[in-house]
Amino acid sequence: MPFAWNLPYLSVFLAMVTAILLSVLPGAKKAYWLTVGVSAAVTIMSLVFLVFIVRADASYAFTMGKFPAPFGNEIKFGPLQGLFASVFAAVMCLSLLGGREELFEDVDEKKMGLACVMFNMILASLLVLTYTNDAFTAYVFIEISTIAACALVMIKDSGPTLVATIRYLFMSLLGSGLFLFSVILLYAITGHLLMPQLTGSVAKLMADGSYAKVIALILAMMTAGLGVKSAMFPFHRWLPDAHGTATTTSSAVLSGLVVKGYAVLLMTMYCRVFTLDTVRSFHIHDAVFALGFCGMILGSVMALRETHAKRMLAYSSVAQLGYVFMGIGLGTPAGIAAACFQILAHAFTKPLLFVSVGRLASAVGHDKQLRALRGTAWSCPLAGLGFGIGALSMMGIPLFGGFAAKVNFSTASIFGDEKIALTLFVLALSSILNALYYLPAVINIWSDRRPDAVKAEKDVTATAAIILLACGVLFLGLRFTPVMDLIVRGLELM
Amino acid sequence: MSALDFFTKWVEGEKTVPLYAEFEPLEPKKAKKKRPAAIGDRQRLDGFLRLYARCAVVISILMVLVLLVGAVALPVFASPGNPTNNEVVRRYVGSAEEETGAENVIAGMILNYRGFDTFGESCVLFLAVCCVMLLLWATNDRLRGEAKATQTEAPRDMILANVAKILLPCVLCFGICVLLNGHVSPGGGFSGGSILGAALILFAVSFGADSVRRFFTAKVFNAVRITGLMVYAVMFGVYIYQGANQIQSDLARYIVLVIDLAVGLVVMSTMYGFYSFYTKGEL
Amino acid sequence: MLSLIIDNRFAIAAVILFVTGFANMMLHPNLIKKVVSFNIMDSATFLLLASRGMIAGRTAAILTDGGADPSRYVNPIPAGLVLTGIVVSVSVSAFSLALIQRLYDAYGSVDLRDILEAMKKKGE
Repeated sequence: MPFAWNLPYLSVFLAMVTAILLSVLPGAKKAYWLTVGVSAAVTIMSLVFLVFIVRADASYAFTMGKFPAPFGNEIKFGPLQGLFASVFAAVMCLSLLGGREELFEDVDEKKMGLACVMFNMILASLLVLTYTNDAFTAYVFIEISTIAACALVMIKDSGPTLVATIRYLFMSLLGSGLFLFSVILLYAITGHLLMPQLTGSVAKLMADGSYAKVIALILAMMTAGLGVKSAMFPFHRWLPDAHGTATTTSSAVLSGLVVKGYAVLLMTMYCRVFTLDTVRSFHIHDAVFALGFCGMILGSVMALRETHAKRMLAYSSVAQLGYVFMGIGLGTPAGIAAACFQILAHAFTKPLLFVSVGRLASAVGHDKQLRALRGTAWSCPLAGLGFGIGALSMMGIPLFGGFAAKVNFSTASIFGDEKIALTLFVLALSSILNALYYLPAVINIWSDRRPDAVKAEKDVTATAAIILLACGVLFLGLRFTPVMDLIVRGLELM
Repeated sequence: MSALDFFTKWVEGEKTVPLYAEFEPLEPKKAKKKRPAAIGDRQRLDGFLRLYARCAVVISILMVLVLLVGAVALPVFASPGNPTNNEVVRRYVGSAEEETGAENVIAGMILNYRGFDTFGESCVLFLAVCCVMLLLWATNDRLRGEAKATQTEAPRDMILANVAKILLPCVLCFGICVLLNGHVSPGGGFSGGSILGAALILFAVSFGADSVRRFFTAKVFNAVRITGLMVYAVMFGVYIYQGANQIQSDLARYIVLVIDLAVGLVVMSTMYGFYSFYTKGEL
Repeated sequence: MLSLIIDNRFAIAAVILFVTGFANMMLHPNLIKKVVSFNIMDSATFLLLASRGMIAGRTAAILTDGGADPSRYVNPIPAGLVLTGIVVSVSVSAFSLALIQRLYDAYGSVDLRDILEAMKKKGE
């Protein structure tokens, strides 16, 4: 076995061991830079791994211990998992860099180490949720990511963030409770927790028609549980508060990555364990499509009514997650591939927007009301440019990642056999709605210079983060065909 | 003014629309009108809450019905022919002693076969302590003063102290016994660790937190917690490396005992940490 | 019908308990009660899981003098999973209770509606 296959598990352990050590490491700056270093190292490891796995063009199961699949824990990786891991780690690193100034302002110096513990744990749990081949490991790491994500909201220790945290926590617990219940039901009818055996058992049960009701129930509960956690439409109420009040880095990580981890797990469950035919036979995908549809429209409508920049971005996240669920709801491999691409595109775009808003607001005393941000782009042109690129990508202007995602969704719907008109209609409507609130925001920040705005202090790390995130958005917009090919191949090897 | 209003006006060609301008000052007329409006808000809120409660009840009833259909369709309780009673169980029971050195199959299973899950689980405990510290750790003197003012320690109780003198050695011995024998008898790291943690809490309650602080300072607390988890992480990391790369070694046979001990230390310090941060905001 | 119910009595009890916790969590504005109802939900899942491991007439999976004969012991897997679940539930309860303590310090109430009202008054 080539050494490269050890990299995924080593990167997980690297993040977790660092988290454990950070809780006693004195010094806020050291803790912060160590966390940045670890996420950069994980990015490099995942990229090296990605190169190897794309060359090998296969997927491998890796035993976490001495005992193979039905007995011991296992992770499984292919090109798709490598791609997700690299992007997640890279965006994590860039979000940390981009929100540095605000992070040090919002977090008590003595508690910085503990805050960095949470960032590392989030990274580890995202990696495991992407790689896992075991339903129960998925549950344990869902809980890790729940606790760490709630902690990320409350590290900015103020009244509103505490209230947002408790609402977020209760919703997340509901979601993980539903997920655990469904995993137990799955165990009860199949006797397995490892995905390869689950796949076989579910296929057998579907073939002879026994326990069909229970399988439908499991699918519904699992979808609802993971849907609650990734802010699927009727369960999205916690998201704007949590993502809107947290510190910039937390908002970027939560909006860009954490909610995606659950969506990736849901896709893994659909594709690897249940297979899309089973999902389609119970019409679960229709429900997911409908909820994604509503989320896309209502998320944007609610974003239109917001006057607080970060809350507007948070509602926009609801809409963007609606795209992901719409892709899953198409119920075809092409739809899932488009959803994967959307996850990547949004993972770059939303942190770019949050980091830019954070930089812009630093010129006016961290007031993030849209009217306070009027004309701030002149005091920090790069951040204004970054916000512009992010907004254009969200609207679906060619050259940017969001456009490529929309193209993928429309081609996926056209090659599917159903829901063509609905998909194209909602894509068009949602693009218009996005333009309706992003365009005024861009015009707003680039309008007349505010007389009282101070020139933003130089911040090399944030500059680098904005440039790299913008490069990511542009790369996905310009070279989306090879990325799409990689995703499609990865899904085949899932 | 919202983005939508701005946009409509912009489309209509008004160029001087101030975007997101300050809200216009309320006219006196409006201010008078506001009071009945507030009551209206209240009524609307109450109405919403009533509706919400009814919806919640309906959803719960629907959910229980759907789940009952599923529950009735499950395999029969306690029958030997259940799908859960399969080759995995036979392998665990049949070869746990030989492969992991644990007569307690459950300990062997959670610490060796499914050890990665349990590592995640220990990390959940670790994260919980970190979160409680983030929330309740009184980092500066002002907070500490407030914490002291609100949470004065109760006067020491004679009955409690005397009973504790008899009880504590027994509890400690029992905890250590459960912890060390986890691989051959019921118990293990989690149960032994919580018994030891309970002993520490009893000690703190009956003799005062200062007497615990003589031997269990913040430094010891951190050292115990970190050592436990690091031992687990490093040992299991090496074990995974060997297992996945098919390197022959006997590590599998010792791993259960050592990790059980490490988990016990983690759980003990976690339990006491919860108590300490809740009552005093520090260790 | 009756035999169906008796055959799956634990699963039915677990389901009812789960929904009880769920309904409580939605209906109670008191945060502490929400935490308790979350614990009820967790207990329900543990009940279901533990009942899945039971096999009539067998003992706990701790090998005694009888040796490793799989037909003498119950299924050990649910026991391990319940252990994991309990630890997770303890951790989450500790976290949420700490959060509630802080909220009480800040707003003087553990009722979510009061807290939201107090928040509005403070203009946050």
